[in-house]
Amino acid sequence: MGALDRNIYKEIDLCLERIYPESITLAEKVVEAGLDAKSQLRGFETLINATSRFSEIQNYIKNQAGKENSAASKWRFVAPLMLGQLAALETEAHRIAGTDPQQILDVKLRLARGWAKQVVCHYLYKR
Amino acid sequence: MGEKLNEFLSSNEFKIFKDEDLREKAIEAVNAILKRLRDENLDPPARSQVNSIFATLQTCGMSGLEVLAEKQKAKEQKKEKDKANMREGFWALLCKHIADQNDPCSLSGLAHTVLAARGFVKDHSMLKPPERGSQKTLNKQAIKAFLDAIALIYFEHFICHFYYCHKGGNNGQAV
Repeated sequence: MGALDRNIYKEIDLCLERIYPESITLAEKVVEAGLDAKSQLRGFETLINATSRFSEIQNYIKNQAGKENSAASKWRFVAPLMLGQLAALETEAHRIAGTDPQQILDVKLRLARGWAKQVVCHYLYKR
Repeated sequence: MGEKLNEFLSSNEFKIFKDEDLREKAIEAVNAILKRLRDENLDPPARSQVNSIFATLQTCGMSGLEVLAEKQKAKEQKKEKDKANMREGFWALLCKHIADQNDPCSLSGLAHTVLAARGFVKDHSMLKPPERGSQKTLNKQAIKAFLDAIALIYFEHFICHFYYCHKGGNNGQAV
């Protein structure tokens, strides 16, 4: 990711502050679902921090939810809310970044990483 | 044109296209295929069969996937041959989705629409030989390059959404 305009960093922070309550709601639901912290949530966070493509995050959630193992039903419990929040982040990224394709790609990933941090931290705190 | 096309295929605009528009197209395609299977009372393919799409793409590219889909389609049709109304199964629908040039929602149709809008594919019907032939070849090359550039990501969207809907996530609706 490249450097962004100073105002865009501010907009990203403001957006992350705004969505914090929703991230908490999601984290509570993840606790309720009983997803395992080490193998599931950390893997998810690692993917978000490593990927260069926003849709890879959405596809990871769908893939986990579509598996045929015991964790899949837990993912299915939280997947609609996760995917809904990610779709909202994508819309926000377009609003913040304007029409510059490079900035849109960067802002989407920065928002996703901030969001994941909020969700995982609250999950670890509540669990 | 080859250089300009390569420039477009590696641009950030194209990255967004693969991340967003292509994802929506794949979701629409999966939803349409699953609806068709439900309407025809046919079972969706097993996960291992769907997995073979990605494995084939990684090793043999789009042409390999077309061969796989045709082979699987023939197997499907064998099972249906004694029935009065022969139904189209997953692989037959996938074959159409990949190559049907008359369907704007197919992958070939999508390639044509995107490339024509940017001048990489041009109408050759009004040209006279030999220009017609060479334009036809250029169009084919551009469409092939486009399909090769999107195939892996398109089918990642396609397969993940398929798994998700198959297991009842979001009741099979687009996300």
